Amino acid sequence: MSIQIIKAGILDSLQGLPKNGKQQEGFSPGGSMDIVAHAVANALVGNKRNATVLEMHIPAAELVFHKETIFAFTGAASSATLDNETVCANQPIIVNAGSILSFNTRVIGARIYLAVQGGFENKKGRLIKNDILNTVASFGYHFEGVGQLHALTLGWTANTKEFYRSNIIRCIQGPNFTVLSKEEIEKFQSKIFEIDVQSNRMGFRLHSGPISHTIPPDLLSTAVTRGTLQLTPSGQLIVLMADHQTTGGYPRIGTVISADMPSLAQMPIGSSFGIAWISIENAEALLLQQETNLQQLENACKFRLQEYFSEK
Amino acid sequence: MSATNSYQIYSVSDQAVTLDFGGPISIKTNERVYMILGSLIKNKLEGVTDIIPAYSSITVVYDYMTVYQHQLKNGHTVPVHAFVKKWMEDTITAEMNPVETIHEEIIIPVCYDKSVGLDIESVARMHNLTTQQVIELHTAITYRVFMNGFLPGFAYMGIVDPAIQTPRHESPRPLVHAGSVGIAGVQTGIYPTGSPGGWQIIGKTPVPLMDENENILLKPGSFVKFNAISLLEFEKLNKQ
Repeated sequence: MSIQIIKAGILDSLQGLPKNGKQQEGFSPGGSMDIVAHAVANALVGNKRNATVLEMHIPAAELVFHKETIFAFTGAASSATLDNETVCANQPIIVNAGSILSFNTRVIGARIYLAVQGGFENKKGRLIKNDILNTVASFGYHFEGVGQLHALTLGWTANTKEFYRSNIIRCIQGPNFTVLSKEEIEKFQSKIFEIDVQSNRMGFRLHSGPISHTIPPDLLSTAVTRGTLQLTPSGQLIVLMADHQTTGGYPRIGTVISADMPSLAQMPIGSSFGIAWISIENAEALLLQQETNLQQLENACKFRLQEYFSEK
Repeated sequence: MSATNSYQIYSVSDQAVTLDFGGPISIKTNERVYMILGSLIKNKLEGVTDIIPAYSSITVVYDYMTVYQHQLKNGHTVPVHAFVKKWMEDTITAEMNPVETIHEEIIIPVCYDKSVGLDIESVARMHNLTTQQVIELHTAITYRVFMNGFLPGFAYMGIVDPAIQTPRHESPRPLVHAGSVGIAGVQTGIYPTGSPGGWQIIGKTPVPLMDENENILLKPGSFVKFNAISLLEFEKLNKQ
């Protein structure tokens, strides 16, 4: 055993990267909503990117470590309380057995990601009080706790600011873009979209004034993806998130670019943003840039950890 | 047989491309979709993670970075989405022969008793038929699985006899039980798990549509025939 939930948060679950390959049978890829925060948490503790992490919403779970480990948290929380000490996000932390981690509610964002060395064993569904989260045996770094200290924060921080943006989410136009009326297309980019309370890991409902459109008469269900902007008959937008259905019959007026999905995933219910249309070539360039930055950050984390443990 | 007439090809995301023949629902178009599916699987491209057939379209989902690296290695310089589109179009123009499909028929026992087929009486009334006639018309056809979607293991099948085609309920039921057999327009389907749903429920099968390892029974391209069973047989099979 490794970590136990003392107090459940609003929606805690273990998540990997999206699991593709069975969408043709109707299985959603799922996976962490914010893939960047997922990757950074893993990098900080020396895991591969695809290791399973704990995804938490606000309020987040309270946890006890039953075994010493290295952990890190990323995403919405900038700090947390480990026993009575404050620990910061985006840093690797060595923790003793018996320590209790809790998050306060002062956060910027919607989701917190927690990784431990080795990663968690997979477990489906929502986590509840007393659930035990086992970790995968790891051949990582060896240490024997941190003595009298509760925890030891290693001396570096991952800078994740460049990965996130607020206010404007960039999208490419979809195959049914032309169902929007001419006037709608003209003013679309000056509209404000608010994330409705009926939003979850499957999709975000967006509030705006009703969007005027013509629904084509014979739209058959086709595949949809993470980020697809569906227009409902009542003129509201739904943007599909991690646990989306694999197919859908609503008009697809556009899709959020992959590089901006982590930013959208961190927008809490009630927050607002605008949409900017960009070309697919730009979307590809931004994804390549993000991936390059992420790989650099992963390499830097690996190097720092190796350096730290070889000096011991 | 050529698969190249009149389609649209477009990016549905920066990591997915759809080839779309457009509506309406037709067996011929869906056969073409499956032919292309076979060709794309055969002529595989590194980085493609899912190929999703639908009624009249096929979507290739890919990992941008993997395709990008593959392209770099091979000296291509076009944008990744253009490369994937070209791969799809080259594959379908090169493959002129229909890919062999297995025409194995899956027999699904269905109990059409009104206690589990909650809407069978109203469907019959709507069409001036007896429930027995509805059962006969529903069991007479070998349906094809046009596509999966909506829920894991949910198969969109058709084409339902025009004499019993019925629109969805205006507001969906909050819970349709697993195994429920429904019809909606030209389609028929079975709920693999309990879910909210708007289809007209005319029966229920005791056969699980998904095992504990998430292997599904009705896959894209399968053929399905329904076999009417009594409530007694249903209950017996349900206990097994």
